[in-house]
Amino acid sequence: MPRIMIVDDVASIRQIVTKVFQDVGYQVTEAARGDEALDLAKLKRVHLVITDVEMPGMNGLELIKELRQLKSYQTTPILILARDASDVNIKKAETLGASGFIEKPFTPERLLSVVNQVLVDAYVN
Amino acid sequence: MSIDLRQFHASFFSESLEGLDAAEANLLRLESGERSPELLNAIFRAIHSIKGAAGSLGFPEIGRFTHEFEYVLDDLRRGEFEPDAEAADTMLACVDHVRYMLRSAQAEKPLDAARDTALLERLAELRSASGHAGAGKPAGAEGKKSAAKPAAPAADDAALCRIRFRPGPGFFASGNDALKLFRVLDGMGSLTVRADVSAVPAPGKFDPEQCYLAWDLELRTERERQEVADVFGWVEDDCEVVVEGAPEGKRADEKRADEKKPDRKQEKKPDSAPLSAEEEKPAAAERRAEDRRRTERRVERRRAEDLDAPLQTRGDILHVGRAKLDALMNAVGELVITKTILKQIISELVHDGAGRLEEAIQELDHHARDLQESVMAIRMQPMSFAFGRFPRLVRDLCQASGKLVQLRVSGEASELDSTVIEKLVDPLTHLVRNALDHGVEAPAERVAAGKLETATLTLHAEHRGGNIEIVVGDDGRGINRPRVRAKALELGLIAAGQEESLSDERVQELIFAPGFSTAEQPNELSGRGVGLDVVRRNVGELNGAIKVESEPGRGTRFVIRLPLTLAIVDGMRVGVGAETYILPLASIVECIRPGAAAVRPISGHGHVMEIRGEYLPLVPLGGIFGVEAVAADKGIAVVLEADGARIALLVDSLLGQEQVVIKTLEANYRKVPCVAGATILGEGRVVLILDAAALVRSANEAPQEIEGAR
Repeated sequence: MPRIMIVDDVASIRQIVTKVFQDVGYQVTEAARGDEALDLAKLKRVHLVITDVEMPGMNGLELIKELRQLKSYQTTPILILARDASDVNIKKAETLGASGFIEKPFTPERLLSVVNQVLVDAYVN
Repeated sequence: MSIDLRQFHASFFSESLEGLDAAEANLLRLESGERSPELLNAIFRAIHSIKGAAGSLGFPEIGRFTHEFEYVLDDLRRGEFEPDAEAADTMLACVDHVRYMLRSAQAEKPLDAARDTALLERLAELRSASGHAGAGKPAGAEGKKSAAKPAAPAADDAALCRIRFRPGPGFFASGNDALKLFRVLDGMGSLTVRADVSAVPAPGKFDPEQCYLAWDLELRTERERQEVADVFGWVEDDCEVVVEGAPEGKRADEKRADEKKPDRKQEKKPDSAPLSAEEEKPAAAERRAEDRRRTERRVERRRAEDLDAPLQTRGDILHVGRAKLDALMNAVGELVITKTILKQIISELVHDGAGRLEEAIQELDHHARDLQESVMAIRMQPMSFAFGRFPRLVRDLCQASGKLVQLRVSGEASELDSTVIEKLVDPLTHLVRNALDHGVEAPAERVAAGKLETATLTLHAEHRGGNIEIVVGDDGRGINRPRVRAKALELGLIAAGQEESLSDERVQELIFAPGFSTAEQPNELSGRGVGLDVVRRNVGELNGAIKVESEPGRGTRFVIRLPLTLAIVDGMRVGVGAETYILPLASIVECIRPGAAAVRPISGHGHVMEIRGEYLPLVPLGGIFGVEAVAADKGIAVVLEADGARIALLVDSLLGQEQVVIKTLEANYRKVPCVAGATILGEGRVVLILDAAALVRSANEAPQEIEGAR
């Protein structure tokens, strides 16, 4: 079963994401900050990372940069939570190695379908 | 897949309201001149977090509003506009509005859309001030470009019109084209279009024949609302079209915004012709008056909505519902009671084997106490949760009154039971208002009295033994004693001719009497028909006491003393006839066996007792509850003190000290005068815990009523 990590300083967002994926049997790791996420990622490899950009301490962009420097995370899909399709952070994140973005707000259905698509592209095709 | 999003709502509300409190505190710091990237980022992030979660959790209105607010805060942190007083005002009003929306959503109440619109316009003004043509435009590269462009072509008297356009699913299938509509609108003024794609399904479920899109449009135009709405005339049958804000007749606040614009430009442009003094003065005065009116409205609103609302839980790693904690506390209380029962039984066992059992019980006693203390510690919160709201209140009150006040907060890390903190907010708010209203003088008066123009308001909290002391102090004019005397005379609280002989303490006590106010005329800040008597009652309900110290011309200090928790009290068991009652140990001054000589009847009602030259009302406890008691000279007088007054309470015997768990009577029965609650004793008996403050009060206020309560 896929292991997913959600990085967001907002607890209710983490809770929704966790619930959505646990309901379909995925394992979910939660982190509230970038540095916490990095430590957890080193501890146990996850198959996909969803991260917010605006966070206190290490932000999402810095996290992407750090993750891509780790051997086991060079190709792991990383999605950012973006304000909307015109969010300037998307460009920045993509240059740093992000695979795509999910618009906030999202519906549980949309979240699941986007993540599944990305997982299929990365690990099946 | 369907997930019930409501399970996440509780944590969303508490997290968001907490974030708002932080944003508000940070905005106040910003307003007082502090500038740092961290500060600006923190403000931005608070709103950003709410926006992100609100939309996902099914609060689209909150999502939409915070979305616009976020853009402005993004501009702010990138330094695109300087946060002047007006901008700070707008942003604080927005924080208020988000709080209002959250509270409404929490209470499942409908939202007032008009407020939304007015604030969105103010936000749009801020954005246009920072160079963005209109609100709602993404702050990306495009935004930057428009910053370089000259101002939007719209004339100054153009109004901002918001259109929500949600076509039905068959919109495209019936041959309609949204783009054509937008082009028509664009011809009427300057149009900003934002598509809402949140309803677009995953690629697998996508039906290309269907319309999943919706749009939010902003049109700055001089046309009337009907004209704008007519554009949608052909399509409105199967679409949702809401047109807001275009002039039907112009709305008052839009006019005001228009009037104010030229003012600001003149101020900012250094090369514009200088205004003559006569011209400038009325304009500036009008603006100040306008600012003031706005603040007053806001203060008024906060009074109506916020002051009654519960204080929010603190920002910590773990959020636990109050109910769960209460259940835990209750269980620990039961454990303490069971332990006491066990101890009682063992003390009655005259058996050799009891020795080891006793040891085990000692151990249990020890652990139960540890457990009790840990649970209490969980319920403790720092005083900053009560003090935190005052910087904003003081700011608003100063703006409304023209007074200058510096707020000094200390000891805010002192911890107190969270339920006590909640109940303290109202009395503290009242004291702060009171200080600003009655205590602190206008700047000119202060200067004339040789004081600093800016007054200091002190909020201080400090632990003292098992109590906490909270001080609300000001360096204002102090209590006006002659006026207190005069007012007391007028209210009949003191007899004519007696007023000169009143002690300072008595004068200070008088201000806590019901209906007492020395304000020459009730003004907008206080004078709400609530007096210090209510403050004293609130504090009394927390088993606390309030004192006032005042020096003419130097200031006033209100000192509140409270037990750290409401749940457990150190009590003295007293017996009357066959009954047992508990008196709070904290209010017992001494216990004396009165000789027959010390007790004297007073004319008409009851007795007094002489203790070292002082006469105290002697209140037979048996008399209050209709219990047969021993004669006065065979009983014991317990001297109780509350709110600075004393009585001698006559009981038959003292039975010993005990820590008891308070169970409220109100929840299970009803409020009984002079009774604070009930508890279960070791032997399993339910006994009443007496309310010392109420006993003292009723004996001193109307001695005859004690008789009547039989």
